[in-house]
Amino acid sequence: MKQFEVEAEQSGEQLTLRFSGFLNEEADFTQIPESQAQNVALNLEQLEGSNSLGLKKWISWITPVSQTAQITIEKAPPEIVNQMSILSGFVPKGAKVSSIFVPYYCDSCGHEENILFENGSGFVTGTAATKPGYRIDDRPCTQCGADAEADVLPEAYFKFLFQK
Amino acid sequence: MKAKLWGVRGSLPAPYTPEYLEKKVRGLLQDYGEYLKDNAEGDVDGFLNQTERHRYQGFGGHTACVEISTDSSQLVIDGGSGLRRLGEKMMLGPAGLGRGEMHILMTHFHWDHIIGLPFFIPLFVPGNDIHFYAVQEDLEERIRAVFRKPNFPVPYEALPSKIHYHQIAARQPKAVGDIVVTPYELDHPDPCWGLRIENKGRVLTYAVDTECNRLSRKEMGEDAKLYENSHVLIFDAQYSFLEAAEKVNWGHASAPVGLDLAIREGIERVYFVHHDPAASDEKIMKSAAQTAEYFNKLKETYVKKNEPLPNVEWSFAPEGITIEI
Repeated sequence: MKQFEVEAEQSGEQLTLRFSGFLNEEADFTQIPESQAQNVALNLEQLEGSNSLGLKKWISWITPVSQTAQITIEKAPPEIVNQMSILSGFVPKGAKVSSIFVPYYCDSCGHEENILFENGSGFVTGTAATKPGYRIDDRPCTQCGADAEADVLPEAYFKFLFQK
Repeated sequence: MKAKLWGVRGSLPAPYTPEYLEKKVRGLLQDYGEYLKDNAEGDVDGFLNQTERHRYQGFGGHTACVEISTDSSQLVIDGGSGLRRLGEKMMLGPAGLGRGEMHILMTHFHWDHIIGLPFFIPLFVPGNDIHFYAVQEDLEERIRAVFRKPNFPVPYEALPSKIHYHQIAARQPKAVGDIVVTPYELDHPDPCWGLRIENKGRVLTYAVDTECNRLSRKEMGEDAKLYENSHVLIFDAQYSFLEAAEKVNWGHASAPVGLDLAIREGIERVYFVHHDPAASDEKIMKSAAQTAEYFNKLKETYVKKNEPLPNVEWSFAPEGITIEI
């Protein structure tokens, strides 16, 4: 696994952090510069996964940040979505999940691909007035065009939507 | 070397309520009725063999007490309520005749680790030699305080056994017979020491109570040696991962954390203990299921990267089991 790294980009009130590598006990969050940004976007696309020790570090870092900034989690890969749903705590209270990847598999040609689901179309987070939900349809395989299926157990994969 | 778990609950002893016991019995009787539809009447052993152990034995309600034994030596870790029953067993031997020599190492002095001391019968038998060990300087005062009115009617001065105190050095090995124990500091609200327990090349790591706030080897510093080259880990998994994340500075950890430490250090087996007193047997099993789900997903992640994880056997330990180290 690659070492955990963070790239930061600030533009006005928006701070974007791009994470890569494996989130474990060696993850160094001190490399993230201090910021007064009101909005913090966390791009997880290049994260390879996480163990519980890395998740503990993540929670220690993100909890105070979430108290002063609006956090948006974007492009969470399957390895992270799984942990979001199993261990809980990854998405702090008040944070939004704007997009996640869902793994798809094509029976016809064996092609595997992660498809981006966006909040508002593939899934919706709940509000005070509405329940959270998801919709998983077959998608055309980008390799052979046959119907590819989501390679997840939907109830387990989207469990993070229903955690309080 | 063996380790018998005389108490695996944390914080407070947790006996079953009559209502809970009735619920368990009713459930078992109903299932036995179903079982008899396809099996011979009276085949109770057969029924129990195919029933999950926690349903008919449970995890137990006594607090922390572990008996370490080799062919020639014995060492007791902590005096939780489980110590009472261990003392009863000891009374069947030399201790009952006032010829016993016992060694008790205290990791720390929270109630759940000392509550069994006033009920440790060998203390009340003239002639027995009881040796207490701890890193903490105030070991003797802490033990004396347990036998003090109005909290206990028998004052310390009335105990007829011979009581000896040994302060042991942090991070230095101490031999008790042929068992060598080395204390390393844990992450707990009051000073608490994990133990590296060695005999004939086999190593048991006892990491109870700990929140495990220092996660990397670098953060653990000298205390990282607690887990290095160990074969078996007994680990504080009082809470689920989320509960532990929310209960900051409460001093306890969760099973996934213990599992990841074991994976990193190449530890063969992990036994999770210090179960929350509020956790029913079913809740503990739910934690076990969550841990299994976590471990399986982690393995999948590593397999995809062609970096298979070492195999670690683990379980949420019930009271009364004996672990072969």
